[in-house]
Formats: sequence, structure tokens, C-alpha cells
Amino acid sequence: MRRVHRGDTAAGVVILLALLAIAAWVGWRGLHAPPRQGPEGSLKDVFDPPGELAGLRLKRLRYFTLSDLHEYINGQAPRYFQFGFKALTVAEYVSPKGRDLSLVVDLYNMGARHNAYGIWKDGRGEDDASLQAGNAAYAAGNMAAFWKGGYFVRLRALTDDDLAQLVRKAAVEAAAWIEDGLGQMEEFAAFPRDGLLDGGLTYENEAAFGLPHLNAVFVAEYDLKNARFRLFHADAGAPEKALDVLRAHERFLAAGGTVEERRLEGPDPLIWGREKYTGPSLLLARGSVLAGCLGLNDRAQAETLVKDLHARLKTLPKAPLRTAPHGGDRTMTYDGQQTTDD
Amino acid sequence: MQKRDVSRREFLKVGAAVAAVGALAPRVLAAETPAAKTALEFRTLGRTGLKVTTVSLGCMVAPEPVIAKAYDLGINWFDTANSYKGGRNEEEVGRVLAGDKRKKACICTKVRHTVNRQPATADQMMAGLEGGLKRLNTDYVDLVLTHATSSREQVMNDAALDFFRKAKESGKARFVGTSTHQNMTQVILAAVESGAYDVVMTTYNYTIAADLRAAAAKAKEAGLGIIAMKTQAPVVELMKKHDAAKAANPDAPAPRLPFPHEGYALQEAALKWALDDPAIACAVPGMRDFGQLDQNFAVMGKRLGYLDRRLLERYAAATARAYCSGCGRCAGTCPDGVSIPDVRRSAMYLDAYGETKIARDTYRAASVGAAPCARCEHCVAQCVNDVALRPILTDAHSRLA
Repeated sequence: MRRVHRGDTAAGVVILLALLAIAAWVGWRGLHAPPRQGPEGSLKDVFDPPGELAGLRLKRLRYFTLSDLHEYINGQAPRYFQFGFKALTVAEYVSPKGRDLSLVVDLYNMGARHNAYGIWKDGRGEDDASLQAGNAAYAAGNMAAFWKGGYFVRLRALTDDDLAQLVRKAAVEAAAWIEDGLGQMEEFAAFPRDGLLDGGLTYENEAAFGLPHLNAVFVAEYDLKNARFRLFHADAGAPEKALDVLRAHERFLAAGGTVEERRLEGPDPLIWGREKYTGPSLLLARGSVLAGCLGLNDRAQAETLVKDLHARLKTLPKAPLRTAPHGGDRTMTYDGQQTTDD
Repeated sequence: MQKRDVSRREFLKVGAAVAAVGALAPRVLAAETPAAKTALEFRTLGRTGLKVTTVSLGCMVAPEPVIAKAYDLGINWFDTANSYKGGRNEEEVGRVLAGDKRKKACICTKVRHTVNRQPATADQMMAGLEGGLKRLNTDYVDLVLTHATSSREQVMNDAALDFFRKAKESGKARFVGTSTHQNMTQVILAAVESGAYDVVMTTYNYTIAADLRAAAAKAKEAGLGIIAMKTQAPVVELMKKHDAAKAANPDAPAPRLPFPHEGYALQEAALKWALDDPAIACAVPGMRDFGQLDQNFAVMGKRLGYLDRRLLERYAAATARAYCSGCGRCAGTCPDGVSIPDVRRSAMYLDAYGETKIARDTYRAASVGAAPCARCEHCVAQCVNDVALRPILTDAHSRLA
């Protein structure tokens, strides 16, 4: 019979007791860890609107934050959170002459211009007509919406009367409340215009195309010679982070599709592959900037388009286009409309 | 060479190692179950008789590729609404579920029940449904809901009941119901009383009070189907606030969260908590990317452990007492008519944000401030989450009136 040393037994008991103690500590920590509420965000981001708008006077102000936005817009709140929502001011204007009329102005502070653009574009319906207000606007019936600076603003006249003209006038006037020396989204200027679908420019702040590794992405949708595809670009912030995105994309393709080309060293690191739900995709990094093509079967054409996009991105000015409301004569095509900066 | 038996020393060492792994492994849920290996779990949606996957899809934030994969995984209930993305979400759902897929998938959409702050007519609601059908590219929906009702009056509204009747008679909706984010208990009980509702979709998560759970159980007994939404909202909101605070003060120490921020485990646990309630037929979490889809889907194959449940309950209890969830059920419970939700909100603006002007504006906009509170020795106003109301109200009055 093998002899058991007392030392072995003692060591085993000590180990077991220690492990039981650790397990108990872990369990106790979990049950008794004091929950602490993080701060709820800042009301410093609310907008302070003037007391008059389009001949109407301000009657009431309400504010909503991350905590309670759902009380105002219900299940749509998560979409606003995706676009970096900070705070909402709801200003209600009424007629000073006692007429039964309410004009409600929702001023969403989305924290950044691209987020304001993204949520503005996201809510645009097929029947909404373009309107000249803010950086871009649309309107339908007694509703109008524009984006400018980091704000998405929606106006609604709560009446059965046709007040479309008043609402549009109010939108133009409200747009002047917001300073924005930059005008249109320069990030879209890099996309080629050939085959660009009308209304095909969008921005996704989180998980573009359902891919968690693609965030803060500018997207353009095309129909070119019967091929439907998308071009997109994003700035990962640093070259190493751009490579991380490529690796994440490789993992995504490997898990549910095929990686057909992988090149992570040297100039122009890229991933090319296919996946059932997102189709063929090519992602190429230059420095911190990622550009890609989704949906084009022709790999060579995809790479050409992506490299062209990179080249155009490099020509975009880093500094603001202008610092004053007026000046410059650059012509930009924006959302299918040719506009000239004043 | 001597035969090598397993010594007691070796046995203890191995056993200790196994125990250590077991003790220190993540507690929240069982080991990762790939979505592809998850067995679908179905429940019957009340009197509709529809067998729905317990984890279903809230399509609001889901891009088309994610909706498509959800269908392929076997999810058969897809929730959208007229108002999501200006109507485009219905179009997206319609594109994905076109053709043969439509027969195997159930679609739920929602119509507005107010227009310009007035109750909508049955014709206006029918116009909303017909617009939805067009965008969904289908001639019927499995369920149409009046969107976000919050009172017995809205549930019992004749126009809504008339709309339901017409929607069913025309075949444009197989079943009818309502969705609710506020005064949920009242809405559910009214729907039971009405007899005209087949389904109620309600906020349902680990922070809810006992009366809502009881209402859901009663509704199930009465044959209503209950769909849970916002099952993960408390977690998501907490993480958003945490991230916002970090972004606002990147140099400051990050605010502590009660649960690990990394990974998805708490959101899975929150979803499973709701599905463990037999009154719930299914949940419709929003899923913005493939990762969330896989993780939420796999909850069907997971078990909520005792410690997971205790953690959720403890967190809910601790935060409920310090934190108003904005359910609005305190409204109207003060015999002097104090506008409790508005006064509470003004206090929050002052205390949580330090925004005196905004807090004061909000307090003054309340239809009845908290001046009467000074006269009451014993507050009879009700908070279903046991938040102590009188101190909040009197304090707000003293600082903001």
C-alpha cells in the first residue's frame, strides 16, 4: 500500500480550503457588490431656443436625456442612442393671437455633425420632399426636419389645418439659430458620382451592415451597369486600429463565409472574401483610414474602386472648409442635389 | 519501471484545479453555445395559437443582413412599426421576408393611435395599417398593435376597438393588440377587461414591480399573449451612460459599474430573466449586429443560474430605491394633485445634472407644484418601486419654487 505522507494530506486540505474560500469570496462579492449608478449624461447639451419662431411665441420647454428619451419617442430611442444622442429640447410654440395651433420643435443634440446627419437621413421617408433649410432638410405635410452642426431638428404643426408653409418657414428660421461653419458633409465628397443612387449617401455610427467592427462609417450606394454595391470609408483613428478592423473582418468572414485573400503586411493591407448575408466584401487600409466595397462580385473592380476612394479621401481638406457662414465657391454634389456654397 | 498509479497527491492537485476553474469561471451563464447548435424554443402566443420562438426579433435597429440571418436561424416573429425609420424599417422587413419566407414568418407592426395629440379615428388607424402593408409588401400582418398606449382610456377607446374589428374582418390583421411603455399594469388589466385584445407587448425586465408580473400572469390566464420588450434596456442604458461619462471626462476615473462591462453576459442574463417567466410568450430584443443576434439567439439554450438571478434582483432592488424609473404610475396618486412626475424630473435635473435653470423651468411648468407637500404629515402618494416621494418633492419645492 502506498504510504500517504502527512505533508501531502495537509497540503491538499489547505488547497481545498483555499479554493472554497475563493469560491465563497467570489460569490459574496457578486451578491454584495454595491451597485453604483453611473452619471446619466449631461443636460449641458440641451439647446436654449428663442422665445419666438415664425410669429409664434414659446409656450413650453421640456428636456429629455438618455434616461427618459423613450418616454417621448418610445421604441425609436435606441436608434438615437446608436447615433450618439446627448439631449433633446422640445420647444412648443403657440399663436399669440389665441389661434388653436401648436408648433413643436424637437432639437436633438446628437453630439457631432455626422451623427446629426445620420439620424436625419435615417428618418427620411420615401415621400419626404427636399427643402432648403439647415445643411439639408426634407418636409412632408405639417412636418419638416433638417440637420445643422450637431443638431437634428424636427418641426411639427399639431393641427388638422394645412400649415405646410408655416412649418417650412419656421424650419428656415430655426436653422439660423444654429452655428455651423462647415456646411455639407465633406466626407461624402470623396465618393464617385457615377452610378450613385439618389439618396444613396448614409452614415452609420455603429455596426454598419450588421458588422460590429465597422463603426463611424460613411456609405454610398450604387447601381452601375446593373451591379448594386456599396462603397464606404471610416477612420479607425490609428493604423494599428485599422489593422485590428481588418483582422476582425477576417474573423467574421472565416466564421460564416470564406476569406479569399488576406494581406495584412506591407502597403495596402486588405481582406477580400464572401459571406452569406453581407455578400462579397473588400476592405483595404491606408494608415488609419479604411475603405471598402460591399456587394461587388468582381474583385478587381472592387479593388480599383476602393483604391480610387482612398486617393480621393487623401485630397479632402482636413481643416474646415470655411470658418465663416459665407465664402468659397466650391461646388459639391450632395444627396443627388448640386449645390454651390455661397 | 514501476507502474504509475494516480497518487492521492496527484488526485488532490487535479481535483483542486478543476474546482478552481469551476469556482472562478464566469458565473452568469453556462458555457458559450454557438447559435448554430441552439435548439429553438417555442411558446404559444395566447389565444392566437401561434407558436413563436421565445427569442424573437425587434427589427428597429437590425440591418437587413441581420434580419435575414435571424430568419435562417429559425426566429419566426419579427416586430416593426409604422414610425421606425420613417417607414423604411417596414420596407426592410418586407424585403427580407418576401416570397416563401412570408408564410413561415410572423410580422407584427404598430400604428399610431393619436394624431396631433388627439385620439385617432378608426379610419386613420386603418390608413396606418394599410400604409404598413404596402411598405411590408404583404396583404396581411399577423399582429397589429396600437403603438404605446398608456392608460385604460386609450385601451378602451371605441375608435381603437372599431379599428381592431375592421382590421380582422378585412383580413388585414390576423390578431390585434397594443404596446405599452408606461402604466403597463393598468394597460394590461384594461386589455384583459376589454376582451377585444389578443396580445399586449409590454416593457418587461428585471426592474419591474410585482404588480406588473401579476398583471402579466392574469393576462396569460385570460388568454392574452404577452410579448416582452425592453428586456435588456436597464443594462443598455447603464452602459450608454457609462460610456457617455467616460467620453465627457476621459481623464477622470471611469464610473464603476455594478457588473463587468466587458462581454455581453449581463444582457443575456436580463433576457433570460424575462423568458423564465411563464407568462411571457416571447421577447423582441433589438439586435444591431450579427454578434448580438448570435448571443441573444443562444439564450434559448441557456440556463439562468441561482447566483445570476440573485445578482439581477439585488441590482434592481438597490437601484430602484435610489432611482426613479420614470414609469409615471405615481401620476394622480396625490390627493392634492401634485404633478409628481414633473416635480421628480425637475429634481433630477437639479441633482443629477446641476442644471438649476432647466430644473426651475421644469418645476414651474408642472401643472401643480409640490407646495401642498408641506401640509401633509403622511404622504399617501404611491411609488410602485418604493421610491420615497415626499423628501424628493418637498426638497424640490424648497429649491425650485
